[in-house]
Amino acid sequence: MSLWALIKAEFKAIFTNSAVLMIVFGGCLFYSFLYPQPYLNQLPREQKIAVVNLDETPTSRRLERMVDATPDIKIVKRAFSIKEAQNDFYNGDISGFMVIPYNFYRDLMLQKSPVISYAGDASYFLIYSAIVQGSASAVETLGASVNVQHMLTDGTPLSQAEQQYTEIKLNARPVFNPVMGYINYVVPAVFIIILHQTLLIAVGILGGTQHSETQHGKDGYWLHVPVWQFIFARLFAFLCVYAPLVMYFLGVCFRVYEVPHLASISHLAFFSFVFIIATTALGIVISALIPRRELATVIVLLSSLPLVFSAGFIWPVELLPHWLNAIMQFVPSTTAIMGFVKLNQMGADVSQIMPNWLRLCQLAGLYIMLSYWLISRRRYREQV
Amino acid sequence: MRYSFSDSLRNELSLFIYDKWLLAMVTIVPIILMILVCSIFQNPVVRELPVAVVDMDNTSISRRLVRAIDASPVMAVRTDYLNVHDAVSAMRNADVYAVVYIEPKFAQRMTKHESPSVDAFYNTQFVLVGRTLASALQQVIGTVSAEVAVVRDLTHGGTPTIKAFADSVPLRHQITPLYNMGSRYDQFLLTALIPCLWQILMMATMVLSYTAQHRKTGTRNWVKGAGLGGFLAKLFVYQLFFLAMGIGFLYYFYRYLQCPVQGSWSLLIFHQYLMIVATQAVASLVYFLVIEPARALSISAAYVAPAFAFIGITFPANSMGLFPQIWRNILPITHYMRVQVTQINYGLPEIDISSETQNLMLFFLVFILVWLRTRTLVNTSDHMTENGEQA
Repeated sequence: MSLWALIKAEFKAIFTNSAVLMIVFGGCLFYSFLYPQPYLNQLPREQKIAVVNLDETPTSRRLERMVDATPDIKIVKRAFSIKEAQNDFYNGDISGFMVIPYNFYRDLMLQKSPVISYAGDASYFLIYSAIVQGSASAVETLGASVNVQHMLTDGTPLSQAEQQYTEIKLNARPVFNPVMGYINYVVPAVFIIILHQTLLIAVGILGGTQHSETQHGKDGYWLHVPVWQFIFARLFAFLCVYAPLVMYFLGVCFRVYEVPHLASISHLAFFSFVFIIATTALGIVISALIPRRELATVIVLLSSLPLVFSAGFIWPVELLPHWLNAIMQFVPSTTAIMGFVKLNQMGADVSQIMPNWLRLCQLAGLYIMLSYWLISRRRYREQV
Repeated sequence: MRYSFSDSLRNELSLFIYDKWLLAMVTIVPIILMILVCSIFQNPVVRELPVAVVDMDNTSISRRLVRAIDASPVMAVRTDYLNVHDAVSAMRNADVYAVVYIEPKFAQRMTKHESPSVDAFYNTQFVLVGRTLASALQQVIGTVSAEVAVVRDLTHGGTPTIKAFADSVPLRHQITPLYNMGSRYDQFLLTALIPCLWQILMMATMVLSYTAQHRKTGTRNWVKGAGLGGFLAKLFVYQLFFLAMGIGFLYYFYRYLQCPVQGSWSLLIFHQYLMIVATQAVASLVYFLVIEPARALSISAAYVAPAFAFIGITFPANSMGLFPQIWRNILPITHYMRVQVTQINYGLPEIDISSETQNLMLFFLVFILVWLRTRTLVNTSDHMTENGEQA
């Protein structure tokens, strides 16, 4: 069998296997649509809180309005006691509340540093941080303006007071994802996971199908070619199938969902190439290990969430236990996610992702050798 | 020929011997998964994140600031970057998560009372980390700034310390996280992540169990022979395993994640049971619709794998659009999670969870579809091969 005929046979095997087609095309399309759906609004906006204003002075009302004016918070209720606010909270009408104490205005004028308290439901971190950030920024703005007022009464000229209301100014700028949007955060990494997992399942199912056909006594082309040719043809075939899918995810989808992307096509292609090869090689290893094709799906399905959470974009790698990080380095997705995100979202240059690229090459080499050994062994057993 | 219920139970147990992978799914696999995800959050609070500091001033005040940043539990200072360019390049490479730049003549401007500024860039590509860094930086600079102001006040006018403090901090705020007081990420993420994994595991195990039966006797023969009793026996055996897992992880939350479980354990476990049956209903439907393991599992994967994004723990459900709202409601886990959160955290009898109970029970209706499907399956003559479409 010539190499060309073998590659043609591989393509035929892929495109006539409905389970593979379903995962590759159906799965990718479905996930690319479904996954970003919850995050389309990017940020949790207008979280509902109640305000307990025990002071009832113009200044305390001004603070209320300032809090309400932040994009994070919407005051939906004015409660008259903390107890009442608590009840609203338990009923799920609000996710937090703010308390302005008695004599707030008086204490402010007497320079006694009154305390504004606010509480938010920390079972939902994003809601909590929205409430905290919104309230804190309003309180700080009011604080600064009060400071300026004090300085003015002490005789400092306005222009100077505006400059000096604080000793050190912090000029903090979020970078790479300036709006702190959730789509920009989750989608780039999860899309890589989706590509990775569907590719593993597809290769696993294809290999599993052929294995069970062999066991049922069918004489397939995969038994009659040298093992290295077989592996090469499979890698090549899936490279051809997945290259357009990578383009679809990183090109079309990023455009549609307006995810910031910085890398050039050639750099992405350079990195995607090893990513697909390494993942396909891992898929061949899996397919050579499992007795039945559906187990590929089970393994991949169960590993998805642990892979996502140990990839370093939700939970920093620095905080992972070393042994876990070491194990995860053997999965192409871990290093691929970091590489793709660094390259495409954080604007790293190619030299900076070379360690990731080399790691993927090592994994590809490792898994190609491993699959060579496994397939040869399996063939030998089948012949015996 | 009809089997008795105990025959059916015995048949289910013999399936575990017939298919070792199935046995693994209810024994070793949940344990491995649990160890894996729990060890991810071994360090449950964000701390010692590398931050590059470029100190162009190098005076005692700027160094005081650098030490204050380093003293923050969240940040660990890296000073090996000579200029902003190097530091930003390191941030692009994810070596550091933020870059803090202290301008030259920082101390000089401060003594002149010119409010020098500290520039900070922090990486928000990783949102959780970015948010934590932003507030930590804010806190550090605020504290140092207040200290400087107090000292200045005291040296200038000799105002009493309290007054000096109030001058620099006219307003204070007190932030109370309700529930999860320590802002522990493991309590926040694991309590959502593990139930999602549980749902995935249940879905896959049920499909694998039907598949094992299919390989052993053929689905049609099984449905014909075992009937309703066999069906119930199958559901029952797995319910025991799944419930054991459920109670296991609840206990873990309670014991090791400091989840208070303010509400009632019995309510929690009761809803876990409803959740199990609901998931079994969906899994049965998926299997009987395709009767082919690879495709049934692919459909299951599409259904349960993205559930974590939809349950509304990380990204609040009230900020989702209409479609995700609908989708999350057809996942059993969404309804269970609401019960879990209320029972673990709030736990007041006033909180009404009956709507979630109803929603979970609505999933039981899926069994009617399963039943209809098995009817047609039994009645149609051998239109499918007993080996499925694999062969």
